[in-house]
Amino acid sequence: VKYNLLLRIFSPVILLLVALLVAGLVMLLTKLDPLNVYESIFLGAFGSSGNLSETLNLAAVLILTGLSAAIAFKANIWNVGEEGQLFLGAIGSTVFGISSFGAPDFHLLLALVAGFAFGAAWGLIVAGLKIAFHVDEVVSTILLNYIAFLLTGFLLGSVLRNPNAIFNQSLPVLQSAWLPTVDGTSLTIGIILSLVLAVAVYFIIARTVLGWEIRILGSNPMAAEYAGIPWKRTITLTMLISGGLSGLAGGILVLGGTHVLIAGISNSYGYTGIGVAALAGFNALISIPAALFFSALIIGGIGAQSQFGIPFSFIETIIALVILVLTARVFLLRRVLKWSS
Amino acid sequence: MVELTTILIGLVASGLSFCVPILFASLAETVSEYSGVLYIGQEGLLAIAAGTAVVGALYFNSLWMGLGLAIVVSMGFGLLIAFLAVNVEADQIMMGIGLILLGGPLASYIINESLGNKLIYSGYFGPITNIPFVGEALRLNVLAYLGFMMVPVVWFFLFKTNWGLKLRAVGEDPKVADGMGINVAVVRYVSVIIASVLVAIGGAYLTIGLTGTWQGNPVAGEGILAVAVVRIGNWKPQWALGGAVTLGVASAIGFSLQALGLNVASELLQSLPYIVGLASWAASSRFRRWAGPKALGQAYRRQ
Repeated sequence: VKYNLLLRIFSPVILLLVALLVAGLVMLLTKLDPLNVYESIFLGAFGSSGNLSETLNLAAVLILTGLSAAIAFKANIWNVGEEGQLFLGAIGSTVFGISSFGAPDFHLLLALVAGFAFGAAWGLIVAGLKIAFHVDEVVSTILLNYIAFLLTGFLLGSVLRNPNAIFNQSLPVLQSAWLPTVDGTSLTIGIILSLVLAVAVYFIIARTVLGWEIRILGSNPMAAEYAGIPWKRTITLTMLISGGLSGLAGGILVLGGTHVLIAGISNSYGYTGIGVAALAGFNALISIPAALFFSALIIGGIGAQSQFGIPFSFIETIIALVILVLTARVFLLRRVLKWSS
Repeated sequence: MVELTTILIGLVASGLSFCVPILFASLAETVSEYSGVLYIGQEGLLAIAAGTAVVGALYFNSLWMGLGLAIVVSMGFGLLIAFLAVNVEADQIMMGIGLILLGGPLASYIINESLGNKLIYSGYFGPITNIPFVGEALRLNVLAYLGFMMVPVVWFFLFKTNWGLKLRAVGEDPKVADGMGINVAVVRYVSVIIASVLVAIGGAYLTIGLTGTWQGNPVAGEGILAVAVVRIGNWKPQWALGGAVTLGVASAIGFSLQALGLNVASELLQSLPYIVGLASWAASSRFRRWAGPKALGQAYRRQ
């Protein structure tokens, strides 16, 4: 049993190394030294306290989109809509951030809740379409992502537009809704929020009735029907939480980073959440180190971009490669167990 | 009134032009799903085909070679997908998500490495105008006509040939098909590779068929709309054509209204095909039964 546990932990790590090895081969083909590049990415992510702050700030966002993907996947709901839900959350936090509604003390809380609510609403559309009309969520979530980008563009060009800015951006978020930073650094409290929510999601899945329903639904939908699981309610609640977490990620990006809404608020951070969940095996707590890995790859990758001329698309390619390679995880486990017995 | 007919012809013409990638992707999805392999990753493969088509066209100074390169590269990815689905028994939805995310960035990276920041203009297949009546009005190119011709070809292949029968048997019940002496693995490999070739032409159409250039990933939901089209049309190639044309016209409406000078935000018009896609799935769900392959998305392991 102990041996199995060890395998379970190491199989994703082995596959992760395979993905990095493939990426390294591509670098060799383009006459780059992969070890140099990976070293530079590592230093770019952790080399100084400033870089470390950035890595942790992004990890906070990726933990949330990772949890968003993980809780839905756990219930066999293939929510690929983290990116769109993130944009909706960013819109929500911006709308409630540009005016304080006469309550500056609760302004930050209000703006965060708005982010969660907007993302959750976008997620509920998916649940509604699935329950009432059997619309496959892989299709509906991706189409809703495209609609969310267009909606953001529309709002930035109309009602939310800052007339004084050269580029399309929203009016600025008031300082009372900014995420506080740790003294003397750019590290925001977003990471604490994310860690708390990771524990909360772990608790929901492992210890609550909803979590039990999610696990049954995920392991065998047919059995769920027979066991009398209220699957419509389970799907609705799961998508509400899942969409809300991605929405909150968008809120953190605005309230803790840009302080305005821009069309380029996310570098595929919602999509990267799917990678986080895949790497973590849909486990909420393991999502934390998984998010840290992708965050380091992105922040370090931005540094490597200027040093080695590696385009950001290459970093995105590695992230997708990790997801693809990780699909071999069950296969690898089965093979090793068979061989060892 | 003359103006109205001109506008309507223009709408149909651009609708038919926009529907081509969705049509190719729908036919690909149909072929692949009938053998039991879910191919949602074609959204990503479309981008790779669109990118490699430009690279090939510029490298060999020939649009046909661009198409050829896109097809060869796509077949390579088809092999990978089939390997993951058949041999590794990977979760086909997760695999699709991975490929969707891989496509755009990988295509950008390939363009960046091979062409750099040079002006990327490959040219495109011009319209065929010497067909009586239709040619001049519709102004569609050879790839578009190829797409429309593929509809009866795919239908004939799936429902009237021995190979098509084997393919559908594998998707319906691989165990029974295996018992009948059909090699499930080979059939699935072949069907995924045929699908990849179709996707390659659809993806190449986005660049060397329409714009003649690469300005970022040109794929915007065509692959995933195709998945919807196949479900709504109950896996029938003729209905895939209907669905693709409907979505093509929905994309064209935005352009037509803007051409008329109507003051509607372009973003709202651009979201029309996605909304139409979702709405038609929802509307059709009530009077539609699952007519798709029963073993869709399931790997087969010999006992």
